[in-house]
Amino acid sequence: MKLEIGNFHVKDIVFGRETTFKEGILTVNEKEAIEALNPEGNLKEVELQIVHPGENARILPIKDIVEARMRPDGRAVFPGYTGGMERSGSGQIYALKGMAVTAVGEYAGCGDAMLDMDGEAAGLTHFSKLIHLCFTAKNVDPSEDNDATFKKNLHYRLGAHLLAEYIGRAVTGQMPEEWEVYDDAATTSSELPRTALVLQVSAAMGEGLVTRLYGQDAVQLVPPMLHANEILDGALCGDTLFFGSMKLYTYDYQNLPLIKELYAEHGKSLNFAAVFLDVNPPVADLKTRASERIAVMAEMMNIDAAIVVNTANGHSEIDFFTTIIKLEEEGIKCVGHCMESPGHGGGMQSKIMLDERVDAVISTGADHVILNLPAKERIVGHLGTIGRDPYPGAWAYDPEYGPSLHEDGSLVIDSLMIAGHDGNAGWSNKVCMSY
Amino acid sequence: MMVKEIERAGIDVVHVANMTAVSKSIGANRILKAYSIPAAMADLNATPAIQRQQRYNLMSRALEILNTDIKEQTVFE
Amino acid sequence: MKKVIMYLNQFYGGVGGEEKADYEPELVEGTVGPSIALSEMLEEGKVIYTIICGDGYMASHTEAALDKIGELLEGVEFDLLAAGPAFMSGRYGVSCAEVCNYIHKRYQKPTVTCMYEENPGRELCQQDKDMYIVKGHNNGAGMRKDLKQMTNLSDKLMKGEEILWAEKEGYFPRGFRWQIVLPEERTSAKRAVDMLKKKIAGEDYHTELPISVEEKIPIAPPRDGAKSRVAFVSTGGLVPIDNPDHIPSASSTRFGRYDLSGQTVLKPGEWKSVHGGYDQSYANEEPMLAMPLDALRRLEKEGKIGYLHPWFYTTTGNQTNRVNSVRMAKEIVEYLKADNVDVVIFGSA
Repeated sequence: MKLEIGNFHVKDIVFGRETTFKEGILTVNEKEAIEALNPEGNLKEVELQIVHPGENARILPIKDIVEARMRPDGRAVFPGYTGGMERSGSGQIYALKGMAVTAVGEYAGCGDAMLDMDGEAAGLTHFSKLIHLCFTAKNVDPSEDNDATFKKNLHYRLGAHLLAEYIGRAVTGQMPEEWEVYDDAATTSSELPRTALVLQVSAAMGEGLVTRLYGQDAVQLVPPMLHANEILDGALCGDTLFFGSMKLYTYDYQNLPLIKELYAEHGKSLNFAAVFLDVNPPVADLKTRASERIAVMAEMMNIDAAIVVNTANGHSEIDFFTTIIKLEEEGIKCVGHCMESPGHGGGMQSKIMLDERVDAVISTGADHVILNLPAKERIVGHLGTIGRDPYPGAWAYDPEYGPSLHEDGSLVIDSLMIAGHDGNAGWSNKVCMSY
Repeated sequence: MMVKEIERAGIDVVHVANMTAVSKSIGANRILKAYSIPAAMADLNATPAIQRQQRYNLMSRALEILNTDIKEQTVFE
Repeated sequence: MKKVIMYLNQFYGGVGGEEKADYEPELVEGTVGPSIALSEMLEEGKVIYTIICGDGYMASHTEAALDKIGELLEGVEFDLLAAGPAFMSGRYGVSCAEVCNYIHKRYQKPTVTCMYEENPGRELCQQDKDMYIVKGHNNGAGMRKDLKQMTNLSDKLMKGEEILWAEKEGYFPRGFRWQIVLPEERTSAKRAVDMLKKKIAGEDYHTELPISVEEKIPIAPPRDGAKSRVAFVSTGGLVPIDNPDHIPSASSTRFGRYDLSGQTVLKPGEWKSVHGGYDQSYANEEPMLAMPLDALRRLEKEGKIGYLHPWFYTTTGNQTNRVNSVRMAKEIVEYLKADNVDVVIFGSA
């Protein structure tokens, strides 16, 4: 399968009369953009804001982060979601690099997050390096915000993808500045070990909350095999269930570092043969079934080696360990890729399950770190969601830390709040050490 | 972790848990597989009457396991 | 200038060999043997007192020995305890561990000891924030190097400098994990592919998450429930509706203990789940999905359970650290032993 991503580097975004891209400057017609992201009027009070890296700014609550793209042949950028169902992963697609489209809501739930554009918390996530074209909005139907903990955020999430597709059209008719080519057939060698990526998606519970595969909820998913190109090309879209620090946003799937690094070795030290999606159902037999399915597919595909990725804590760690153990039993050499949960004191067992057969693991760092953050001059969204709403990393009151939100706007929070903190797609330059 | 400490103190334990892999990895010896994480003691889709019977059967099974001779950590389905 | 107390056994304290192993604790002003060298090497402090105690006395009269040390230190101000190095001497290593544990608990002062990796004292020494066991040599020939290592760590502790990870500083990992930030280009994706290439090629690689095998508990022989005293303990997070003991939804440090005497069922509306790791609504609607009281009562009535302990113990198991788990279990065991309970049915989420 051959996918060519044509890149346009966005140096800045401004508002103007016409949505265009010229000499690195993206100009956005606000009215048109808002219409594009809100076609059925399910959102109200929609406004656009541009936020730059290094700016004294804080964005929250974030619902999803998406790279703006367009497909010259007219197919939907996110097949099955923003348009008709067609296979992704081959042909040409254009991408606007250095920026992202970010949906910001009114109320926060379990999967929501915050992003600082400067300071300590900015240094902990890859998302602070992008220019964000944010939209803030409210749901027209208040019942959309009813469920306190788990919010589906359907209109915000769809809006982000529609806006990304609208913005992508700014480069229509132009020639990309550079091409990234993902063509596995070109360099496959029969000599090299066949290697798979096992990527855990969010499928633990709840219609409307989980990762989307071609626009459909992955909730009942039995692990499928995908081509890496499909993932880079819009087949997977972000969930709103896993904590915002650890989950994969649509932007992460579109730019997945683990896929890119495996491709870089393709035909040199390994053959990048397949991606298997792993899941995380809350029932032991379904977990075992999923791990067995992956082992069977790996056997059928003659896989020799695999990188296995864990993207959430709690019982998702069981899927991670079980899958590695099943693959190792098949003689497949595995490297795990996961965050650790040693807790604020650093003394908790890092994973709920441990097994010595899992002998090669990359640690992306600790998922709970207390951060004391100063107030920001600019707030995009709603600071008042902190302490009021059930973010995973903020609280109304804590006996040790007091309230998360102080009167002067400064914060004491857990890194669970920080969008992209754990870098589970392969971004993380953090690691846990033993003390 | 707690299971092991209680057992270390000389009190016999039957660990009823759905995630038996975790139970095994923390060192429980007699492990009985429960229904699911949110509803350990019965099938959450069953009627109340059936759930009552399932709970009874599960606890009866726990007592059987307590009285079963095992040589290594064992998961009973 | 910071003040250091050093602990030595009878041999290194210059009292004598095995024949003096029953030597009772003595507090010597200033330095003796290894404490002379340590004191000279320290930049930030000096050894003001040396405690000398026979290894045999510490082993056979641990409590008396520690009490005596407490007495001797009455009114003495100090900033750090150094003990050893104990090399491969098991009894000396255990003594150092006992003294470190005692001093840390009683005075909340940092402790630094040193021993060889196979010394049994390692297991005994508590794992706490400012308690360190420096990786030492297996015999006295390594004395100078071991003291140097102890000095480096002690100086850092007394200066209040950040102590880096175990490998870097040369101490044994204590079960803590903290994250550090690597150079930007060392992404986890690159590291993963590098490690995989090494693993494929059969080259050495070093996992970033070391996994040690858990110690196993001997398997108990079969036991008849009809002749047993049975209790139910759960980490499923079920608590009375108003959560009177404020059991948290995760990272629990407390358990609840609730009297079920005379009750045959748990009623919806009177109980709820506070477990933060799963959908709680099912247990809220039917608490007995988490705690099967009706079944246990029926089995008691039928004589299949000899006696059902009237209290139900409950906490949340998710993200609870090892130290708290062990402590809570020990506290629960106290209650259970007081009622001669011999069987626990343990329910988890």
